[in-house]
Amino acid sequence: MRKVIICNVAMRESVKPLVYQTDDKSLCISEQPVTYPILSCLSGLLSPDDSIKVVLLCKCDPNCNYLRNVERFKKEFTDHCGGIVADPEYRILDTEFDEDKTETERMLSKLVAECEDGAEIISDTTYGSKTMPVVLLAALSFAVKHLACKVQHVFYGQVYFQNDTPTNPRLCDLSYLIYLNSLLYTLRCDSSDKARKALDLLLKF
Amino acid sequence: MKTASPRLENAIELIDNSEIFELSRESNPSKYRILEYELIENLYEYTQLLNSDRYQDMGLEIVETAADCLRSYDKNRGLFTHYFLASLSRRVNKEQAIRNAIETRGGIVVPKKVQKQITDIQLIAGTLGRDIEDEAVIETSAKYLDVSTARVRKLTWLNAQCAVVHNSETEDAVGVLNLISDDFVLEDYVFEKTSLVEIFNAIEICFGRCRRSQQEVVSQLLTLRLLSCPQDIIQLALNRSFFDSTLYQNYINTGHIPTARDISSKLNKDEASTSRTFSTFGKKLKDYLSELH
Repeated sequence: MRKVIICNVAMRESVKPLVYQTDDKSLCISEQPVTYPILSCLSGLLSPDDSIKVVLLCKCDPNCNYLRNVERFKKEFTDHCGGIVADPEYRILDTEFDEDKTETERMLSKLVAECEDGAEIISDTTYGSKTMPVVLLAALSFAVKHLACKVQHVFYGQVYFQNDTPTNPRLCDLSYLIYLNSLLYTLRCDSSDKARKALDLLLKF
Repeated sequence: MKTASPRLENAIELIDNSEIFELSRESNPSKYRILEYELIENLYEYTQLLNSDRYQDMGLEIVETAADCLRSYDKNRGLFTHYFLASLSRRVNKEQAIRNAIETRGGIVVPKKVQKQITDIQLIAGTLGRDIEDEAVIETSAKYLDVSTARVRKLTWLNAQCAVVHNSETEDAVGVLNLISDDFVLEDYVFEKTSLVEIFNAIEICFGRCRRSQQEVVSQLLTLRLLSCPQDIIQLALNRSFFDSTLYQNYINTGHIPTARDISSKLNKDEASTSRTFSTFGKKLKDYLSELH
C-alpha cells in the first residue's frame, strides 16, 4: 500500500520530547518520548510491504530552526520506524515565513501534488504556523473527495503548559473532521434548524 | 433515472461492503467514526440517485434513520441498503405527510399536538383510501387517537378551514400516487419483519386470492412501484405472477413510466377506484403478514 505521511515541522529551537497518551486502544503508543506526536504510534500503522513517502511541511523561520527540526524528524523516524521502513522517500515542502495569499496557495498546491491517487494518508498538524492546519485540512479534503485517498489519521499533540513546562500530553485525532465536513457539504435540509439538528446528531457519533 | 445506473450500483456496493459492518466502535473509535460519516454520505447519495424528488432536502431524516439503522442492524438479516431503505421510507412518509399538512394550511401554524393528530387522520385516510371526512376514517381515527368522533370532526374541520385551494391537474395525480406510496408494503415491511423473498411469496398468495379485475389493477400498480426499487429487487420480482412484464418491458424499451392516472385510464377505471383497490390489497397483505409473524 502506498502511504503518505505528512507532518508539519516545528519552528521553535527547542521542542521537548514527550510520551503521549490516548484513549484510542487501536493505537500502539511508544513508551519512548518523541518530539513529533505522530511518531509515538506510527510504527504500528506501517507494514514492511508499504511504500512510504514522508512529506515534511516547513515554514522557513528566520532562524532556520526548521532545518534542525527536519533532521530531528528523520532521526526519530529511523529510531521508531526504521525496523519497518528503512529508507522512506522524503519530500521537504518549504514555504516562505511571510503569510500572504500566494504563499498559502503555493502550500496548498504543493501538498495536493504530493497526495497520490488512492494513497493512505497519515498526518500530524501539531507544529508550524497557524495557517498550516487549515491548509492541510483543505488539501486532505480535496484528496479524499477527488483523488480516492483515505485519510487514516490527522494527529494533534495536545499539551498543557504549566510554568513553560508541557504537561499531560495527549494524542488527539482530527481525521473525522474531514469526513464530517464532506458529509455536511453534501447533505441538504429544508431549514437551518434541521441542518443544526443534523450536525448535533452527527457530533454525537 | 429509474434503472440501476452504474453510479447507483457503485453506491450500493460501497454501502453494503462497508468495513463498518466488520468493526466495533470500541476496537477502533477513530476509524469507526470516519466510516460512519462515509457511510451516511454514501447513503445520502444513494437516496438521491434512487429518487431525488422524494429524498431531496431530507438530510436530517436520512441522518436520523442511518443512525437508528446502524444501532439495530443485524447483517445476517440482509443487505444494509434494503434495511435502511425500508426504515427511511416510513420516516419520509411521515415527514412528507407533515409537510403536506403544513402546505395545505398555507403556513398557518397549529399546536404541535393538534398538528400530529391531523397528520394521523390524514395517514389513516390514505391507508383506507378514503376522503378525510369519510365516516370510516373518522371512526378509525377516533379509536386510534382515543378521542371522540366529534373531536375528530373538529380536527378535520380545522384542517379544511385553513386549507389553501390548489387547482392543478398534476397535484391530483401526485395525490393518488401518494395514497399508493403511503401504503406501500414493500418498503414498510422488508427486512424489518421478514425477508424480501417472504414478502414476494406473501404478495403472490394474496394476489392469487384477488379477483381478475383486481389483479389487473394491483399488478400494474405494484410493478409501477417496483420500477423505483433497486435493480436487485426488480430481478427477484421478474418471474412472479403479480409482476406485469408488459409494463416492465415497455419501460425498458421506451423509458416511459406511466402514472397511476395512465394506468387507471387504460383500464377504463377512475383513479379513486384503482387507488382503493390497491389500498385494500395492501391492507390484506399487511393482515396476512401479521398472521405470519
